[in-house]
Amino acid sequence: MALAAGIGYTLLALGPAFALFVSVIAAKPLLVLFVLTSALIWLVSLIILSAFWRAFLPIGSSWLLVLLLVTCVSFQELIRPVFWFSYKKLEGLLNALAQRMSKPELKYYETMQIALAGGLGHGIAHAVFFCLSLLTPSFGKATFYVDSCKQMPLFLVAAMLSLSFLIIHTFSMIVAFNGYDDGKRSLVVFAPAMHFAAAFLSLVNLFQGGCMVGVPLVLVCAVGVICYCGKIVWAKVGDQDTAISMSNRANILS
Amino acid sequence: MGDSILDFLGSEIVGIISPVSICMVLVVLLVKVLEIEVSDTVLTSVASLIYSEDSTDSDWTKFLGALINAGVFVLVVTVVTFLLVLLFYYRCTKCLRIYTALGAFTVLAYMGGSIAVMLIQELELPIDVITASIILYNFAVVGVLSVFFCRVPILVTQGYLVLVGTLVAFWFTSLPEWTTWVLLVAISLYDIIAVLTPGGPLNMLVQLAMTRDEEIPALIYEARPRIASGGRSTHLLRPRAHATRENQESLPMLNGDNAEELQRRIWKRRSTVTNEGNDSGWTFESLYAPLIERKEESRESAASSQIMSIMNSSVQEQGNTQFASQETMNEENPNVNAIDFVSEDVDGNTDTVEQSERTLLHQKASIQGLTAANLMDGRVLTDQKGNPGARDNSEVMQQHETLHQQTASMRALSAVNGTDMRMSSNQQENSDEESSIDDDEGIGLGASGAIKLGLGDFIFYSVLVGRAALFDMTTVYSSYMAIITGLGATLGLLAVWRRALPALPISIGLGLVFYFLTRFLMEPFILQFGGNLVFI
Repeated sequence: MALAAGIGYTLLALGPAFALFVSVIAAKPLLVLFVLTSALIWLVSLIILSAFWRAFLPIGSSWLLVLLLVTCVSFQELIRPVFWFSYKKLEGLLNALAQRMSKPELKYYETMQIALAGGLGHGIAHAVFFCLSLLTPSFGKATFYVDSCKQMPLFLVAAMLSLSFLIIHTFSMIVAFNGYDDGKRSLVVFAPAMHFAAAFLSLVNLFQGGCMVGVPLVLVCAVGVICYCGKIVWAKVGDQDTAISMSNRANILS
Repeated sequence: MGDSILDFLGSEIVGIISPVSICMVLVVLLVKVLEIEVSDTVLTSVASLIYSEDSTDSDWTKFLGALINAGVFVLVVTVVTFLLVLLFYYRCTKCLRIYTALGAFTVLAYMGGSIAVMLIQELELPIDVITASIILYNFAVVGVLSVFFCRVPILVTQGYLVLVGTLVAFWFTSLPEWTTWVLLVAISLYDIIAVLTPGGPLNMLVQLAMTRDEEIPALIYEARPRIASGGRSTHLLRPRAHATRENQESLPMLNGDNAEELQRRIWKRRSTVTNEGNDSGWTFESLYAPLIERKEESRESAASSQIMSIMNSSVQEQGNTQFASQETMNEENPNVNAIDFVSEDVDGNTDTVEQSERTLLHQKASIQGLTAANLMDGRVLTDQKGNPGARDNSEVMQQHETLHQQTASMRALSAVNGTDMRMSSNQQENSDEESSIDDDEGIGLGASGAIKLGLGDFIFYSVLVGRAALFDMTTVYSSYMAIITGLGATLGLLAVWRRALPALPISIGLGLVFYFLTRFLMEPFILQFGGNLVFI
């Protein structure tokens, strides 16, 4: 049970990330570099946050915990536009390079792939630090229950929560990129909103037996993010297809 | 899609990050599985000759002891490197090569053997002693042959190099804690001094190798860039193969069945231009270097061409290439090192394959030069068996230091190699409008040539990560990220500065910083959240 449990929890948390990595990212080395970079950025932000809050730990009162949550999530959300800005600069460089190499410029789906890589980096870093670090004892022979959650082992809750956060991070990055590119307010606000929602929902876990409610709610958040992201991208690709076919038609007619 | 820019950039960096990551993962796994053994083993080595750390000592005593240990270690390494330079100066490359081979055999057989025994004990594997010894012996022999002497698929060579690095790094993680940290810092400082200052041994080695056009014998990991994974490379190769006559002439020289594989292992060069409007992309052209022109141009950089020829003979035994087999093909011409380089005559000058091979060798040599330097370091170290009171362990440790030295030099070499490649491509002055892709230095991506990283870098990165694993997995992840970042930064600097660079300082520095920050700041922060099942 021991090794299987450990591997099981790891795959639960990181399975989709691994699948995404192997299918989309591994083929293109530049995307791998993007994943590593965004993971590093997330790590640095976490270190800064922990440096700031170290003096106040351990936190007893729950109000302080809420404040901690708010500051952490806002800090991480501030990083998102910074990431987008630096990506824009890099995109200019990449397109110039593409021209010199007589390659086509970056298309929409490639931009989205880069956004996916960025979000995946965040998500993997989050999963690794918040879940995998907790999972080390699960490779042993026993399991562990937290006081406030007697129904599910700590590892299972951690794995499921980090799975949902991974999905949220990954796909809200795509939504955010779309939002920044198009300047649509609703998209830009969507990512932080969902992040806050998920973080606050996970606060439900503090209550006795709250994890039975909290974990499914966070998973619902994750599903919501995926659907919304899919809807946005589908619409945009559809628009582009229409635009291309219209221009083709115009060319033929003219 | 094969024609997007995303496919071409960054493959060298990923090509060097992957083996480093694999080495680190293996070391962490070994440390985790064999944790009890690691903390119990008292490692007798040069690094703990003077002071053996005791957990009952006060912090200050531990620190002083660690300083002394690290100082002794760096001193031994320096002395041995200078000896290596001396031997290289007197052209004792053969003995250096054989010595390195012996060292690698010892690592694989003895250290691999003890780790295997520990694993068998820990995991309770049912295996008998005769089978185990036969397997171990074969493993070690194949390793030495594949790295140094024979031509084998490059994956085998790379795999064995990574394994050697893993074994040595695992052994080093059993050093006492304070000694490990101070040692890492000391080695990084030594690396900077040895590679960047004019009087540093590694610098001298590199200069010697460059002026003589010799290869430095050393254990160096070479990341051969591939155009694309899977069958795509063949597609890219095919049009090119049919495009020029020269290619087809040179192709038959390669062993039939290996031709394709060899083509894949071609060094990526700057696009040289072809006026033939070949649309297979710059990568393919950049893979094929117009060696003929370079040969003439490289006369100007005598170093490169000289290094090439000499290095080829010595490097072949270094084993970081599989050129050895080619060597057998052309005994009288020591420079012939055909395999991985296929010359392409851009201007339509026909050239014999042999000549093109020579030019290939030339280019290779310049790159090899650096690596040779590293190896020399290692060799000298291992030569130095005059360690009084040497026990088996300390000899083995010597070899570790040797390897580590080698890797240090190799790192330097790789940096230089990259630069040398660029320099030689720069010299090529084809009046071609489709000028080479030389804008990638700006972003450090798509650099020319294969990146070489010394094995010592692998070892010390893995030692840091392994030591972090002895604390907790969070520190492992953050030090891993830091090391990879440092490696990327070093590669970027390599693209900008174009000279031999030490790969240790930035990565180790960042790794140490992140380790201590994580250990003292982030660990309680995460526990606060995770323990309450609150996620941010």
